Amino acid sequence: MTFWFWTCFVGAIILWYILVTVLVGLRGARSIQKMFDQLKNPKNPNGT
Amino acid sequence: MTNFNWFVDGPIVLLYLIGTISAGLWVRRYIQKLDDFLVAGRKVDLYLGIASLSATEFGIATCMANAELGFKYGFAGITPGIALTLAMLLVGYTGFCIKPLRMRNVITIPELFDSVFGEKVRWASGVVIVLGGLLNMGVFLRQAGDFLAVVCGFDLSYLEIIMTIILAGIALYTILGGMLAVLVTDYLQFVVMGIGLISVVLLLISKFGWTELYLSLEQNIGDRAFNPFHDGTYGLDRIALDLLTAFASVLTWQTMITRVLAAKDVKTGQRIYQGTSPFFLVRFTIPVILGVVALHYFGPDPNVTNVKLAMPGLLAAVVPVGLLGILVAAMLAADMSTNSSYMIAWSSVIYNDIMKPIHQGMWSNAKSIRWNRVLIALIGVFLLLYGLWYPLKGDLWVYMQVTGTVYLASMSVILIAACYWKAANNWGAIAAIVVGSVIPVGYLILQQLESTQGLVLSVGPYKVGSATYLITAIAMVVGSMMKNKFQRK
Repeated sequence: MTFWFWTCFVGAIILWYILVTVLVGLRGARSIQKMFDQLKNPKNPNGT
Repeated sequence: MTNFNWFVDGPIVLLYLIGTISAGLWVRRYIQKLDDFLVAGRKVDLYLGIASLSATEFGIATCMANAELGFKYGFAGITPGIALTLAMLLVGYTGFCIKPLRMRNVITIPELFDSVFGEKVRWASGVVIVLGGLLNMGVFLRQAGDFLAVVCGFDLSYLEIIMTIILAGIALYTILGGMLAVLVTDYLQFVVMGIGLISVVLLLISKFGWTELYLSLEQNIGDRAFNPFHDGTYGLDRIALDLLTAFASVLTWQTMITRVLAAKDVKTGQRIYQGTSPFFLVRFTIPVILGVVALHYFGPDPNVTNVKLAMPGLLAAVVPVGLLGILVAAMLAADMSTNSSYMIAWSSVIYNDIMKPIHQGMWSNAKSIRWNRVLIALIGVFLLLYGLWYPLKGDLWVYMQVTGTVYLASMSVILIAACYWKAANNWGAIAAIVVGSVIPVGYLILQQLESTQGLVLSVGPYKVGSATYLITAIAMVVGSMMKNKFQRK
């Protein structure tokens, strides 16, 4: 029981970390681009 | 012995360092106003916020401290991570305190106190925040130096030089690029850190076998490795302090709250907290696994002089050439993001709250930014000196909790009172600041004196830490009620 609890717990956390690293890695670059667009042109709040 | 190869791993680390420092320097052209320098013009969105907050809160010191918990307590060492995750999720979901804080458009928490309790409380809050924050951060460099010395195979006599070089690189881009440089490098560091840590943990689990690691824990630590409530393991007093520290950190730790304050709006600030909350389980689970593997590899009495060095010793011996370079880059990434964020966080408090009586908010943007750069450089010098001479005694995580309590207890109590208790006033706030800082600082001093060491150890840091929160809250209530009573007379 304890073995399976810790196996699932650690497995779920590692899986979550993999998914978030991929997701934030892909979306974060766009976020940075948008932030700089807004800083360059403050009148355009959407950064488009 | 280490597997680190200067011809294979060395260039990987060098490439990462050049890339990240160049990116940090490149963004300095976007700094025009003080808000750009300190809170990135409040333009941070969800994904950048999650990357930045996660990277900041995971450094080499954290990794070594939490691996030490894994080595000593097994999976029970994850408990503070569970407490932090719950606290951040709850605060992010409800917006408790962070909502009114972000809505005021302040740069620091003491700035909010100014409008509720007056300028003196703001100044005193700034002093304790900087005191607690710098003491807490003071051990980061030495831990990073120890880690790199063991993993890369440096002689420990080169520790000071390694620490100075690391700090100079971090200070360079933080001084020039401010919060914008911190955010961009945090993003790069989040990605590099993720790749390095995930690869190494999966490699170690496949190399030693999950079942073998579990059985090894059973044999070396017993049932208490899996249950923090088990007698003689973690203990209720330690869990109580973990919970109090977790909630107080999420509400007031300047490097965390800066991400909420830099968010583009209140809702994004709350979502950054919600999205980052599971990372605090990662922050403990990954290092705890490294500690557990180190325990399995070395046994309960490792041939290393210091338990903290068991984890880097394991990595140096087991991780193969090539991957070791990625791991060192990942750990450097973790450390650089933490140090840069901490440097700018404390400099912003010194400038915004402690120096307020001097500049009165009248300095030009250029002059303000220049002073913040000077402050960051001075913090760097302090870190170097403090990191060299402070002799750390006891658990690293306990040191960080106790030093954090110097301001966490008082600031969390005052923040809650400022947001939700109308009868709160400056007497209560000052009483809370004095009580909340005197107890943990006294503990640290008494711990170093031979005559009082025995007494301090018998009480223990956990009871002292929890008592600090309770007594600080009482001081806030009693102080406020006293002023209200005198004023009515």
